[in-house]
Amino acid sequence: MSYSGFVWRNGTRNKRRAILTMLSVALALFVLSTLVTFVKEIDRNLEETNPLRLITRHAVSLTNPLPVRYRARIESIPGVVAVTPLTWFGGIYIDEAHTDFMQFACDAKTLFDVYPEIALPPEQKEAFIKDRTGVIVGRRKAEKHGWKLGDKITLKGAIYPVDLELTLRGIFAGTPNQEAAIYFHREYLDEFPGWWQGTVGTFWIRVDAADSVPRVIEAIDAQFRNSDAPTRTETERAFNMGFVSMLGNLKGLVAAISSVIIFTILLVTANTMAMSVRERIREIAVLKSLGFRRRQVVGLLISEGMAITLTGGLIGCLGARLIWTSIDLAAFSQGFFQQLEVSWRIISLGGLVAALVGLLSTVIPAYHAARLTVAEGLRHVG
Amino acid sequence: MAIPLKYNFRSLFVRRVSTAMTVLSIALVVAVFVGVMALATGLEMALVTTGDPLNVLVRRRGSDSELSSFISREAFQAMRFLPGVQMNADGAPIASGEIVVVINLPKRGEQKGSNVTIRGVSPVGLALRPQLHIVEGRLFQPGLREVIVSRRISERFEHTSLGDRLRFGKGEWKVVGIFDAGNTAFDSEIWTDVNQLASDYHRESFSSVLLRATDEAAVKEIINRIENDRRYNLLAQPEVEYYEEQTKAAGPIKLLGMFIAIVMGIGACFAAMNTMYAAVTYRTREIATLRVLGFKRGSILLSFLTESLLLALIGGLIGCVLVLPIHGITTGTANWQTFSEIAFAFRITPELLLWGMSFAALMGLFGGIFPARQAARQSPAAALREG
Repeated sequence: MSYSGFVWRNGTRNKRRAILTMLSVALALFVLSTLVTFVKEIDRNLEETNPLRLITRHAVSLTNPLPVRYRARIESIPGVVAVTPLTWFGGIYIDEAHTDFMQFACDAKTLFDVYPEIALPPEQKEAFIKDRTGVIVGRRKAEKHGWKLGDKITLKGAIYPVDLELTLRGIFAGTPNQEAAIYFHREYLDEFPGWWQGTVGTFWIRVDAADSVPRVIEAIDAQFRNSDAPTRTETERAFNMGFVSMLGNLKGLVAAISSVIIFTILLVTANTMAMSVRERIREIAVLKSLGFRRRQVVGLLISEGMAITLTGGLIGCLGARLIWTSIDLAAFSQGFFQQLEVSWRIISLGGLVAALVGLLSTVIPAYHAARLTVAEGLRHVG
Repeated sequence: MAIPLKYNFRSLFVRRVSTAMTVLSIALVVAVFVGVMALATGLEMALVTTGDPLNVLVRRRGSDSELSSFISREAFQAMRFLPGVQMNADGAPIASGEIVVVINLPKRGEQKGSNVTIRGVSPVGLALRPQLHIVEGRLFQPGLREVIVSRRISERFEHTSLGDRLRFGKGEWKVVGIFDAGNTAFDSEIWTDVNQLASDYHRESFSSVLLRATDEAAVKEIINRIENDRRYNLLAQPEVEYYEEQTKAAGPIKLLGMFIAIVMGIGACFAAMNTMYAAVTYRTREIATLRVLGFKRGSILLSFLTESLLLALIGGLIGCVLVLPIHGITTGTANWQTFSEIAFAFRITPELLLWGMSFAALMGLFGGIFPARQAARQSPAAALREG
């Protein structure tokens, strides 16, 4: 019998115990890999940003609008390649449960200069630019809501007390977050009388090179520092970070919970391994009398523990991957998460954690058992 | 006849290392559950305890919070003199037109900031929230650029200590007082004079109007009158209800707590099961002896179930004790409905502890039932022969 066969047979000889232990490790790793993926997902949102893209908003807060005339002054700053205004509309489509996308009033002519990654067929782009009430949506949203070109989409305003009757003119591909957005003309919103006329929520800016970034940021904010509406300009990444920061100390919470979970499975497996070793003290003595070295015996026992926890851990992580990719998470979390995919890296990390837990939990009982002399071991009543 | 409880206690003590590990793993699962739920409870309580049952909050129909609402001064004047609105000692209606804006402030010790609500109120507005009191400094003076800051916001954000200067609107505002609003949503706000705020923001209109009704019947009456007035298109609702609706902000946290608790709870069940199966195996001969002495199968079953329950309840108790120190710790998260920070404290209520204990008991029951059944089914003769 091979070494690994021997380990596996021994590990699973008390089938019930092995399965229960594997399952508790699997459940713990399921939670753990989900939590880590959750945090990674938030980070990924930040990584998807373009370092050459800046955003200018009102210095006081995002809810304060900026005058639309600022655009020309920002455009004239050296290093600025393109400027496009975006105003968050925040309306409701059918009801709150269906509104799993972000809505922006945009300037159709410059939007694509700042967002080159929005991939839209040229004829659709043209149709969108021509139609004052036109709207373009991300591919995934179009699929999900069953929208086709030419469909009417009505958005009921919440912040803006107006209802927009939009016509679908284009379906674009982009990053997962981008595909959760829809864009319509700000000129259309501006037609309705109200305080918002002549204002925009934010300006998005593309600069020519990475070394222009600090200078352009400073130049824009200096331009408006002493006006009625002072601005704050930052990189896209810093802007997204602001939203994450608003959620509170999420990482701290996840880290705290994760460490408790790891400690809990350590306790559970240590307990099982101690039981399993105690039952086999006589056998261990037999092994030693057959000429197995102490180190070999410890090695055998540790491999056994690790085999059980590793199997459990992989079941848990793979299960998490399977479950989270087969659920429509965007609908479930009202658009907060577009996807939650447990990556292979996290799965291997989970396996490593599980194996380490197996090692740590077996090392003490294994060492104790191996230290007994053959005579003591054989005399043992277990 | 039942087997004495002492037998279970002693048995647990004999295998003390194994018992301790199982107890501790149950304790940790209970602690995580109670901890996450304390976070959700704290957030909910900050919102649920806000508002007086006689107060009516009016905002624009279609707006989901005060932030996106506006009410003309004309509509406000009309509302003040609705029948059913309470009068104060001076014979003036108790009605407050308020302005709500949001500013972005850096968090203490962090570069990044979060949004904080600024509420412009009149003296009537202060009278409508008697739970709010100044703990340091003094109240702002109407007509001056002065603000008062809640203690929780002051602890968490830069530029909000007594004597600091805040920049928003058209310039600087001085922090002249720190207040405590009795664990309500106002504990996440900065307050100032409504007229000063209106002129800084060029606001002709109010964000919302808060009215005090004379009695419960008048609350309904006022709401009906406002909703049926076609001129203004406003939405009136009891203040309590408005804040209750925002408790859905706690939904995701609760979901997280439940998810972790249920999955980890099942895991802990398996751990308890392992321990109990081992206990049954070790005590095969003991069980047989008990049977020979005349204890019935039912008594054996009950005894092992009790033992497992005992194990879990001790775990639950330790878990509850472990998590207690987080009670009262202040934290904050985004309330997306008001687009601003809501500051609150972890809250461990007796009810929550009871939930934790019930959860532990459930783990004990499920973990114990199968091993106990196995113990009860053993044939005494075979078991005695075996050893």
